[in-house]
Amino acid sequence: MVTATHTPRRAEEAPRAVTVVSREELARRPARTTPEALAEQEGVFLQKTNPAGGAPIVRGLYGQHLLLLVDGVRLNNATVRSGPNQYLNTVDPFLIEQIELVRGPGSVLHGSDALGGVVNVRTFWPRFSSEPTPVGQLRAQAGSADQSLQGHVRAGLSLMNTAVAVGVTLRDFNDVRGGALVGRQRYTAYEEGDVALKLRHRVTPSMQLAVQYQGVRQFDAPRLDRSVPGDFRRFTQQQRDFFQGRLERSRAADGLLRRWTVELSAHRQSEQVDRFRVTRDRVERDAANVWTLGLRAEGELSPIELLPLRPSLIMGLDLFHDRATSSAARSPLSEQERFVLRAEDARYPGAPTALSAGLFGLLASDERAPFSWHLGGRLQLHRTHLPEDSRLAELFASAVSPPPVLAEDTVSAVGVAAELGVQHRLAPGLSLLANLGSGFRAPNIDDYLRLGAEGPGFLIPGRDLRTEQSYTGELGLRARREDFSAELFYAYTVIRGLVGNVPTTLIGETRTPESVPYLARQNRDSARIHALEGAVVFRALPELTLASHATWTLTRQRRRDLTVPGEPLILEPLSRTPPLNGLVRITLAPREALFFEAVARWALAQHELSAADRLDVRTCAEVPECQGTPGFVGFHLRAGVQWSPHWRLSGTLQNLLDSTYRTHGSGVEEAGRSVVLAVEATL
Amino acid sequence: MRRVRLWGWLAALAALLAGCGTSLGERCGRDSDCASGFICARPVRDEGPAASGVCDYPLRERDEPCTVAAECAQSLTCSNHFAEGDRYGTCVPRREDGSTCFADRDCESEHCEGASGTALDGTCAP
Repeated sequence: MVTATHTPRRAEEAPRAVTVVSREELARRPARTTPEALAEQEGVFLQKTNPAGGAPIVRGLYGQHLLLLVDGVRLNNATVRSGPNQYLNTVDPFLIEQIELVRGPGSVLHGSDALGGVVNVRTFWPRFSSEPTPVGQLRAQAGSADQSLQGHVRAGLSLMNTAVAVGVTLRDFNDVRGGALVGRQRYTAYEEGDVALKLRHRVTPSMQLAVQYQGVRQFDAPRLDRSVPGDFRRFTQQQRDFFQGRLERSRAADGLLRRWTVELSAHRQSEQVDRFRVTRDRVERDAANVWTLGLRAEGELSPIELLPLRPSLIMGLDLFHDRATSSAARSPLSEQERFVLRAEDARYPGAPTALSAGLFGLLASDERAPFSWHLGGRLQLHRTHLPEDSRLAELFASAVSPPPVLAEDTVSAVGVAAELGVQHRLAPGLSLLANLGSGFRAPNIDDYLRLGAEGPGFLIPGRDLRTEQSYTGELGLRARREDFSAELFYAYTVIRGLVGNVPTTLIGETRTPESVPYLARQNRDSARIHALEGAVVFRALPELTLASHATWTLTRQRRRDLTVPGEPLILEPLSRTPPLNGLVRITLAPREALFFEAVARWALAQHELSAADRLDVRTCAEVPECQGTPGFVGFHLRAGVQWSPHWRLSGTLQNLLDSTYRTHGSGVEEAGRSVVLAVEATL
Repeated sequence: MRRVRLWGWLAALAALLAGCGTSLGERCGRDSDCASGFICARPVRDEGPAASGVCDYPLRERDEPCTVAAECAQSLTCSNHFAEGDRYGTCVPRREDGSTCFADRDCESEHCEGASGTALDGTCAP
């Protein structure tokens, strides 16, 4: 685990609430997608708009308020929209070495967006070898619910000072069969191809260069929740190109700096959504492309003798520059494809840019000592360039009083974060943790400029936004004995100025001519979140392990109702607040290489809904007296065997009762009774 | 250019792997141009259906599962409109005048009078 403090530590020693999914766990419980690798983990609730999506919800926060990293580099760019997003599913699950989740604010080390937590997907790197050694891996996975087939092949060579590897993944998913009540769910199939290139080179005994490329191409992932025959949408293309170069000097024997890292990254993320409208004889295309260039430099100083417990100081700076472009176009559906650009419908006007520059420092004493502490802070500046915006004026040119053209502008925002924590060993194997921390999210390009369909509404851009700021207090108890481990965390978070989509009016109307509600981005007054997370693992017999975890979240936000004269303050839950949920797992491992497992994943019903939830077809479909999302229990059986160091096989019989259920806020039902088989061969 | 070619090969390989299983959104002239389970949905103009359209799923028939009425054939609606709090329904016939309704779609007359949109509080009217 490196994400919590940027110093490698065992998860059970981390000074924060953490969740780790190891490579071994992923091999035993192969996940269909990267987001689904988090579905059985404590403190995480997984929302899925469609099978190609998957947004983790941590302490009631997700999307813009949960920072996603791949190999330490931000997946969240300056166009991350409000609501759940699909970006975590643009990481190839077959590349994962470990997923690390820090629950609670992480802005000190990671900057903007880290209010609910930080998810860092760490992918494999080839290792050095004292003699030339070929590296190879072949993995295949098939699922009957979606008749899916996934294959991954990896090859490489390890030398004394150089290691290279290349990996290719192909993934094909057909429509998912839900439980007995829904059968096969239309508009859920998609395809994907991934490639990864990795190079490590030891420049000197203490200096390494690591270079990688990851490419993802997803095709034709439909939006099930917004698709019916004759009018359907799909992400025709979802692409990601990621280049990273890192020079790292580790453990210098003497000198002020114990280690340092300089990292350059370039990230391109693009999506293209096509809406096929048969009755109107047209295809509407919405496309966006973002390039993010990043520089990160970080150093760790030798322990400071003057301070109590000789803490180490990690300090650094990071710079990120985003440039977004977007386009909207229409083509007749019954003729030769001929897209005509429509500037007034574009997601963003022109080519907005965003620049962020942050300085951070973290003092941390050795967490392995009976008492440890950490103290950190960050200051970050954001500048966002907003081009002239005439889209609303053009769209409503015939109105009695059309909206004005918004002038070109550059807006600035400041983000400040701090954290202070202590960990005290009350007795051998029993630790108490207390943390105070703050996080922030600066308004991004999407907040300022997004126009058009967004979730259950039609979003209107607004420029009167300020930085969101969160303050979290967290208390935790962690116990670890030979056959028993447990942890319990309570966190209370206050967010000032949380930005969200709220119903509003435009030219005197609350809905578009198609009866879609107008929404506006607004800094709400405040939000308060209580979260209680508990997990226990008990080895009842040498070969029998019982594990369980549960998470409870209560949220309240105060916001103004823009649709009512006087705009009164109202109190309601945050959208998509997870219900009380958890898991019980019994694992029988008669031999080291063989295991059987029974899993019950459950959630209570969620009746706590926001106004936006009630407008959202994912939560309240066309149902009178919508009460939210029913509770569920999903029963699964799993088994796996590793019959040699080179071969491993695992299988899951999922949803034994063929129940029909979805997780709260999702647009798709979970898979019905079905089988998943995975095989792995390693050189 | 080299990269484009590489991705082209990958896309082709992915399509091969998929066995050309789905044709959703592909251009078509008639139903047989689409894979099994799809129809060729063609826009209707004044002079009749257009010569080409796109492959799409057909509307659901009576007693098939639905969660929104637009999934059902034109003469049907989704039964979840008549069951409070129940998301999962099946396609059922529209109702006669005088019956309770949730939305216009539920009525043969296509007019659900007095419906709030959040409760089963409307009445089908001529």
